[in-house]
Amino acid sequence: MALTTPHAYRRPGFWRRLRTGNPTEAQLGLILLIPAALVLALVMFWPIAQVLWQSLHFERLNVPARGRPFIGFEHYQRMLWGSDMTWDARHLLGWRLLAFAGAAGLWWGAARGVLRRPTALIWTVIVVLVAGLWMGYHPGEAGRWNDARFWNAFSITLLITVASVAGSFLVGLPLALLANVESRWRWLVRIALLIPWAMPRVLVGVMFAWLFNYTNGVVNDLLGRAGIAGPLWLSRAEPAMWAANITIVWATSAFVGLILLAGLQSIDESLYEAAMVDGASRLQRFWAITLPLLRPSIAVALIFRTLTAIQTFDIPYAMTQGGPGRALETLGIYVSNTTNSLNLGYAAALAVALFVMSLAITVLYLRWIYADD
Amino acid sequence: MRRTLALIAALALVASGLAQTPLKVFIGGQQRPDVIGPLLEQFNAENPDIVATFEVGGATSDVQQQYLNTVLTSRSGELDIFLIDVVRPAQYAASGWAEPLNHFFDSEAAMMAYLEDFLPGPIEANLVDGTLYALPAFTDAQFLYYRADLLEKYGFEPPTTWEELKSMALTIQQQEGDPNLQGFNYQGFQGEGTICTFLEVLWSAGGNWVDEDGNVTLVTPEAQRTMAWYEDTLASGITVPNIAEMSTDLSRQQFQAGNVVFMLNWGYAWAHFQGNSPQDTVVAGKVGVAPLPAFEGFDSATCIGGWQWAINPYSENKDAAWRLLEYLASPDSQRVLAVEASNIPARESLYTDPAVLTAAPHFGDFYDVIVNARSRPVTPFYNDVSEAIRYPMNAFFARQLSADEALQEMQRGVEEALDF
Repeated sequence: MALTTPHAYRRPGFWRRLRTGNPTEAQLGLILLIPAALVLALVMFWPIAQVLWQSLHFERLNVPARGRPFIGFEHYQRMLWGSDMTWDARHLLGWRLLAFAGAAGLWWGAARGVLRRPTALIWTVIVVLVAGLWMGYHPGEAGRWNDARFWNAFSITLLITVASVAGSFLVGLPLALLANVESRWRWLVRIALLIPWAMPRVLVGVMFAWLFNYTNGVVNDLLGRAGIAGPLWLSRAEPAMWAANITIVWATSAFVGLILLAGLQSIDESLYEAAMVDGASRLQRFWAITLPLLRPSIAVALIFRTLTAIQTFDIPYAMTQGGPGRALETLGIYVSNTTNSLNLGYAAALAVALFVMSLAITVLYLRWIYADD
Repeated sequence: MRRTLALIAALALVASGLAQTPLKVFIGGQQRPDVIGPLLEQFNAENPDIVATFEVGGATSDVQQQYLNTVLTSRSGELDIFLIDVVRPAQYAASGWAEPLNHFFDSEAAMMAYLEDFLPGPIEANLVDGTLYALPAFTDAQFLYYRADLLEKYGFEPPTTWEELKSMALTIQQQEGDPNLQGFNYQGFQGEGTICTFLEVLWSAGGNWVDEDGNVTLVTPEAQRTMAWYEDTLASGITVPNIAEMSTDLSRQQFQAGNVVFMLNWGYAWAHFQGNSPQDTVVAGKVGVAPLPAFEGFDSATCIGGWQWAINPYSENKDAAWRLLEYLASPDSQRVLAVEASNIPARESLYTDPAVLTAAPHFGDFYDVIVNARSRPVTPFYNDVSEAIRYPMNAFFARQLSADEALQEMQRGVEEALDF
């Protein structure tokens, strides 16, 4: 019997493996992902693409005669730099040029390999936004040279984000620590953690608008009993900002607390025991064990909290509809108001701005989380 | 046998489905579904070939409009008839969101004859360049509500000028000695009521937001006088300092709790004051209604309100929808709305109707105010114009803009909204 060379082993092809019902793990994974990917594409990527496309078109439903012409970046120009620059705004040109120069420098750095590309991208976005914020912050001088209302909404959004995220961690972390302590009252703390989280935000807004009401509200009643004259919470810009942030912190620190509580419970008890044997104080244990081991949970809570903060709409809208004046008009509220004015093209451009902000923050956080890898 | 029966039943279902035209009506939660429901049931009984049902959504003009924005932007024919605010027909006409109604009449003359019985204000809003886009369901206006018991106690007649109002309010506040008693309450919040707050006083100073040639006229002596008056209400203490958060319904609740002497508000407040309200009332039988005051030598003026029935142009059953529309705008239906929902009739004849006057004797007092009510800006860009006026007004009440800054901001904003 002649020895035949054995058939060179060939891996069965993709389709053959599928047909014979013997897919590799990777194939199986891919197949199982397809439905979810399709659904995601349909409900997420397609609408995002639609909004991007729409933002490049003129579309006002109360001016149907003008149709839906393609206008390129005109909306963005109006939003960021204005289309109708007057000579009064001449001196601001310098800031614009500086911003462009900064962005160009960053890109040059990226090209030369000094900076990593994603880093350059993030810093470009930050430079342009900060420059824009600076340029927009001249309400008295605004002619029609830029959309001052956009930059107002932008800074309101940033302010609410910074203040309410910091606030919800300041309140949420102690809540989580408290809920993690073995005690007869633990159930009470846990319920207190769950209730604000489970309440609809609009309801929270309406409720707190009542609490902060100047004449009939509980807050000023309590302050009055303590001999303090309460401010006009919702009728003045600055107190309104405080009131909104207090409300948002109340409503969202529970969420932060819950995520941190889950993180706390996964920390190995023996670490604390070892530290105690070594004579570490309570504070030292917190700094050296709890906080570092909590970092992944903090990151998760931070991302979700910041994203919802950037998209803040419900609480300020329910409290004052974005007022007094435009003191609480976040980007989310501005998008909604523009949509209701039927200017769908510009509303889409504003929504894209909101999207870019969220994206930039997420990328920044992700880089921070994976910094060690 | 059973199969035959099932088949017959199925056929009957199909046949009835074919024979009966379904109609869907959209109203807001504030428009008394409990009264509209029976009205539709009666229509269905009289018209066996149509089945009209209704859908309720939103409890404020803004929210109802947002829902309709979504439905109409997607060109959905899901709703056949909807109620729209009196400020909307011009925008609906421009967007093609309301079916023109002219072709349902035999002739132009027949249409004008049909419209004869309606009040002129709502018809003016619904006729855009000679095309009729909606029929009035009921009308409304802002009134001066006052505490009749307090005015009587101090021997005052309802004020006819703003100065009179101020001095009466101050006297009553001082004499009553109640620190919670507000002399004059109106709407200063970031919302639709605030544009009327501004326009009503502007009109009563002889001004308007626009002149005959269509130029925006908001930085004028009349407008400055308006702002000076509101400045005065705050400085003199007849108005609470938190007026920037005063919404329409918050005003109503404060008056109802007995904390207000004079208030500007819409017709709906009356029924609340008499006890038809989720909140307790301490002012039942103590409330009077009068036309708004004016400045010396000028006429009183008020904002027109109310709601209109329109047909969805994307509806597939427009002929049936028109029959329902005619029924809903008929004197009989408006009588039901007036008697059972205290909706102010849009038909002249109902102001002398015994059934209406028995159920709502105050409508007699309302009539003079209503026929003189004026329209807020009639424009397809109503949202932008409204925003351009109410934002500076609200910022003025919140002390973010001075009176002059607020007027300049209004002028700029309204010009930008109309400049296209």
